[in-house]
Amino acid sequence: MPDDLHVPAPPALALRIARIAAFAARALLGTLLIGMVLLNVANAACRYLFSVVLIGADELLVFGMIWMVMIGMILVTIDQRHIALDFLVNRLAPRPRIALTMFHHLVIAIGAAYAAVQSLEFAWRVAMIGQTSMAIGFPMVFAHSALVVGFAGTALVAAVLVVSGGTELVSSHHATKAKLP
Amino acid sequence: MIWTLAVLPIALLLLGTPIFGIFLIGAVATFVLFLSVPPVALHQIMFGGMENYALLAVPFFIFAGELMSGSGIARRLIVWVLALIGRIPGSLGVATVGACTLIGAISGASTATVAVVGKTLYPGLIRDGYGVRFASGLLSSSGSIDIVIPPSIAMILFGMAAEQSVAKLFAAGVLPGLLIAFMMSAYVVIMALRMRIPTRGKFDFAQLRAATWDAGPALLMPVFVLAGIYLGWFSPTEAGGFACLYAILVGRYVYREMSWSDVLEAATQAAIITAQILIIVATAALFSWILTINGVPQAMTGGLTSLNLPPWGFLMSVNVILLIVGCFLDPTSAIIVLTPLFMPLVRALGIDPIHFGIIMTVNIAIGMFTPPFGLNIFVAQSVLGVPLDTIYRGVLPFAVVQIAALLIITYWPGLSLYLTAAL
Repeated sequence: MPDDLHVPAPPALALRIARIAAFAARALLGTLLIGMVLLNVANAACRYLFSVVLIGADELLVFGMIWMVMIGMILVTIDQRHIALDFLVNRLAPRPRIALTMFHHLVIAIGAAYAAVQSLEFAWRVAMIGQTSMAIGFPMVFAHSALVVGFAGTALVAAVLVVSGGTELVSSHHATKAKLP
Repeated sequence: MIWTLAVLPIALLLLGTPIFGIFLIGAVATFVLFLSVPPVALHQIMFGGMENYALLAVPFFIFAGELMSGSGIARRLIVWVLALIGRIPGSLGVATVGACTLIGAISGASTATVAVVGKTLYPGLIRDGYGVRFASGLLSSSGSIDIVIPPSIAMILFGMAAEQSVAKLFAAGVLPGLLIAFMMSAYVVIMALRMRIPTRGKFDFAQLRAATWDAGPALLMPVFVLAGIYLGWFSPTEAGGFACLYAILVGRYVYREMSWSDVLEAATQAAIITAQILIIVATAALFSWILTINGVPQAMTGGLTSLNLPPWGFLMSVNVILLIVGCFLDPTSAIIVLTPLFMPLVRALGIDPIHFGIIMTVNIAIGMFTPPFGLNIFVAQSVLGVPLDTIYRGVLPFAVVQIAALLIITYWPGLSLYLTAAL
């Protein structure tokens, strides 16, 4: 490999689109949670004050939570903020640390990709039989699709992180070689 | 199968792989290599693990905690506790324990409590001469009281996993939580006298009155939440929603310290933390299901039954197992995976499930600050900027105090069950 190997930076437009998408997803999650709080309070208040039940509110709240968790999982993967015992990682030198982190992302990518395929198959079956929720007749394929989106997105992000980790590893290797007399 | 359900997960855990990834890859490997069940079951179990109305309390109470720290509510509660405690030896140390307990009555997240109280009180603790080791140990361990004092995310998860009433668990946690706070405070007073910490100011009724007036709306928040649950106005899940709305209204219109963009930011942060926790719930539910269909709970029950342990012996074994597990596993995973394993034996031995839930919760709380992997330790390290080794040594005496409290809670069921009798 040539010594003057230069790792190409990701295209500026792609980076910009990714940042805008992540920003929009964060704002969406916050808004969704505020909406869930308001629906939850309205449901309880209507029940006690006016003896009126908001039919299907519980279902919508649960489906909203599942979507929130699955979209949140993609964002947490992007930020690399999953709960982990990072005792070992924090004690490693930079290059082994990059390698170990790549391994973690690889584990996530494989597991999430497999889960995404299984979720897609299940969501497809639900769509075929046209299953709906009990209270408001909400199409269940929409609720189940949250797992398809969440796991597929997480697998994709983890795969990108494996590749970028590999690139970083190669560039740090060349930087070290260049410093040698 | 032991490779995919035990060796692989433990190896990945020690290598620092994200917890949800460990459960997921362990389950996937078991499905691919050993199970004859259709793999779409993987989706059904994870979806079912999250499709639970009671779980909605998790994002709501996390959001309430985020709002509390951003709206000035937490700061006013800390000032009020300081004014209340006044001139006793180690008043600032005792105020740290008191503030964590009071904030725990609103928030459901121990790590957030360590961050909020740590940022506010740590400089004062150092100024008063407690020393870095003692102060960081005190803050890391006091934050864990939050898990035992209702509302508690650990109790919500236990209630879901063991099919027990969350309201009863909340009621059962009050006295054990206060016992831990009392024992921690007593230890702080003794150590303050030994370290010759100067007593801060004196008790001033006018100051307390002013602090109470200022903190009034904040102090009413836990009263409103807990009274609402026990007077039957709303369920624990709905209480979480009301707590959020209350915090928004107080922070926005009473204290005027919160803009709408701050509210959105707090909601976003809460949603991200919720995702971190509930994805573990979903994958741990899957892992736990695989353990169950492979007869692990039955084997464990059979093994423990063959030992002919009396209930007290079983509870002692559970405490030892959970204290060890708590050092390595986060609370969510520990509860979701271990509760279904223990519950058959709990029922067989005639132990009250609510009492057992409190024992599990206290164990998990201790695990939050015990080395090497207690989450509170890492939060304290990040917020206080103290080396890990120093915090490790600092938390040890507090771990001994809390284990003593755990033994009292374990062998005195009445302490946990007294308030549940009224429900």
